[in-house]
Amino acid sequence: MRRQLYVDCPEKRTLSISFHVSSPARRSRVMETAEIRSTIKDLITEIAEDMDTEASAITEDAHFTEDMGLDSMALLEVLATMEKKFSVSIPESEFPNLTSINKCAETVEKYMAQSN
Amino acid sequence: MHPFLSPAACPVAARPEGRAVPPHVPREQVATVSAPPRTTRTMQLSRFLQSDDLLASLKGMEPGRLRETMLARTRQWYDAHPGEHDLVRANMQRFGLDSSERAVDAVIEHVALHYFEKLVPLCMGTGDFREFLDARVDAADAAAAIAAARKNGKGVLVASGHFGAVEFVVPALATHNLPIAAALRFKTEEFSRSAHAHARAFAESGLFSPISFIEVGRPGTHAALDMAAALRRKDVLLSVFDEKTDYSVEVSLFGRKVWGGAGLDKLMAFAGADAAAFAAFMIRDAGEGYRLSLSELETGPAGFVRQMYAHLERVARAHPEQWYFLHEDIPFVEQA
Repeated sequence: MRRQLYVDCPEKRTLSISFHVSSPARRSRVMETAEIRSTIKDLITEIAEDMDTEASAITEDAHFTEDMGLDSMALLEVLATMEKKFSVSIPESEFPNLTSINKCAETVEKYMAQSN
Repeated sequence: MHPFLSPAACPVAARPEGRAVPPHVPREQVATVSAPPRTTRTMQLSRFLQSDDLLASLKGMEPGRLRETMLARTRQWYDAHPGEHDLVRANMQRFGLDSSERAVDAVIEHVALHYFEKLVPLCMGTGDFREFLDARVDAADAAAAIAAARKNGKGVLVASGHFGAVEFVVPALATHNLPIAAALRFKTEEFSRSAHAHARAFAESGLFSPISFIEVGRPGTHAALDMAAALRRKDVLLSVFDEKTDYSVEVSLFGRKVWGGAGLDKLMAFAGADAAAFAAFMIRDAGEGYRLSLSELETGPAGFVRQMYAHLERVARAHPEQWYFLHEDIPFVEQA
């Protein structure tokens, strides 16, 4: 949100300084995005390590199956944990989109926003 | 090809095989000498029973003739592989079941019937197959129970063992306006295409409800997620539970520890209260009819696999000859 601040200067000119005010809601949303991504990454890291995935393969854009070697049961565990952790229900039509940490985070954010 | 494939073994059309046991090899050595791994053994029997010439002759064949043909071929194969009698007998002994020659022969007869049920849809058109099922299969009560669960807003898991006429579970339920998602494995791309084509034809006839396949193990697919999605859509999801998979657990069966469950407990843990589950067994009646026995399962996280196996044990105790796995290697936890 941009605010205008009018300042009286000695020359009686009015300076307007506009600045962004970060609203509590926006601050919360920005924090949640980072937290969501971080939480999902932690979850994937734990599961992938159990499946002997190389740590270097665990990146936010890496494909769960093609790059990390996670099988579908592992993906089901990811889905179940995300829904519980973030109190969100993800429609089955979105299941094919859950292919990376970033994609998962986007999906969770979308349905968290809808539920809010 | 095959519209409804059992998850146990997908048929492979190939040359007939049969290897006679040399007379100088002692019987007790036969099981060791000529006991290939389970997959190879199953595929040998499958290829022998579903030879190219037989498959080519199916269209228009009377079901009664097919039945007799499969019985004769199966007896021929087992006569040529006496070690296979030994395997059936050993499995029955390990489970404390009657392992007399009569009982072993009954198991072998029902192996033949399994292949009959796999092939009989190929003998006739869609309409005739619908009539065949209507005349012989009693699944009305089972279908009503499943429909009631769906009406309560639940997806439904129908978990079956490799028992009785498992091949008929999907098409029988599909005659009762239930949308079916069948989780199974196709061994070749050709079988996959054929099965999908048949399912489309069945649905387009208006005589069967839609049948979709969730292909386990197919590259690029995610079977567990697809199965979860089917339950979320309130479909009727059919899967077998008595196979050893990476996600099987130890479970007791006739007092022995076996690997089982195929991860269905984890699927149901995810589905939670949004899904109902039943153990289903298509029992062959004495007079060439079939009855779909359905038992509702409690879907709490604890004991789900145990429940399925308790039902399997119940029906296998009553009809041991119909448990298909008695002719294969059982996934015992301890192989002693």
